[in-house]
Amino acid sequence: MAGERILLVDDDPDFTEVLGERLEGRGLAVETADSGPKALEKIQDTPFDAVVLDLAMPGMDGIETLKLLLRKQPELQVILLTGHATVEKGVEAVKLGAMEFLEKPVDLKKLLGKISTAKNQKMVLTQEKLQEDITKILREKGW
Amino acid sequence: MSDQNQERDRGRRLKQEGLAFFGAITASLSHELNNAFAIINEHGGLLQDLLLGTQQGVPMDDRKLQRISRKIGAQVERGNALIRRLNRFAHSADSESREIDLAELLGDIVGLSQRLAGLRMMQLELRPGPEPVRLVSNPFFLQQAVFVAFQLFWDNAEANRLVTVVPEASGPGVRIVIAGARTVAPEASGEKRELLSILMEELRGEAETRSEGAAGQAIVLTLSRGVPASVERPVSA
Repeated sequence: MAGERILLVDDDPDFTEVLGERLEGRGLAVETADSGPKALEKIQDTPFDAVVLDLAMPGMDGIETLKLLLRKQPELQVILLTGHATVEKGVEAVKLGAMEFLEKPVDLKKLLGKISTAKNQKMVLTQEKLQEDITKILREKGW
Repeated sequence: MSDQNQERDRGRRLKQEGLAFFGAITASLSHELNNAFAIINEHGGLLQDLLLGTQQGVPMDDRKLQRISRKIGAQVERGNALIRRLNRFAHSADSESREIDLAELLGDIVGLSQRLAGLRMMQLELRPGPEPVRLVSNPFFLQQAVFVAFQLFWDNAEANRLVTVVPEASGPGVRIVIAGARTVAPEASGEKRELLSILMEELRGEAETRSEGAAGQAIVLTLSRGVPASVERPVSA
């Protein structure tokens, strides 16, 4: 892994603490948030390659958080973590724009693979957007 | 509609709602258990990571090992508590009538419902009195009635941050006072209020919603200490 920066969002600090530790041990830079609103604050200040987001959270749940995250940053790559009984919601989330959903307990190898894919996907989207912006400017200036 | 048809519909509704209640509680508990397993899984993985490190010459950190061991122990205890509660809940359907320690039963249903309340940013708090309150009743229906009362508060979750549950002796009977800021409006909760009525009839008791002035509202479940109707008159198919 080449220093991906990720945001872990889960209301259970015991979970984010240990998963964060394992990911940092593999060279990732990890920040955590324990709620949807805190996740929305964090993405304002820091560019993340991926957000790993729990589906079932008090107050603003994972689906609501996903919608607001993507509204703020459409190119953001969000990986949802779901419990066994909420696979349907995971599918709904992918239709809403989540990159992927994984079931808890997490298979770390799978998660790392998805994070790597997320980083590449975000780079492609960012470059495409940059290209569009450049084309727009050139058109406006008549160059 | 004839009395017989009404009775049959009522029985059908009780069974259906009972299953829905059972499903809601067990689904929530399974989710909590899954979360505990997820944390244990990660700590197991972290131990493997550390072992791999020692094979590559990184010395083992004893304090880290102790921390991991403590964390795993805490999650196992969390899982055990959930299983014990689930087991008591499952067995509450075994008997239509048994002697109940009211504070203990309410402790169980509060514990079982806490996650669902928490998802709505609401907290449930049991406030038992100093003396035990006992009655003979249907433990499953009684827990279900309390759960419906919780729903009447958490369906208006924005208003309710804390809902308290107080068991009281009340003359020859008992009372359960479930209090919060405000229940969901009657016009938006007709079916649930009707279900609560039906359950309380089965329990030979009644439910009323009363104002607590500035303190908010309370749903008060009043029951006798004796044998509930569902034993004398089995729920019809």
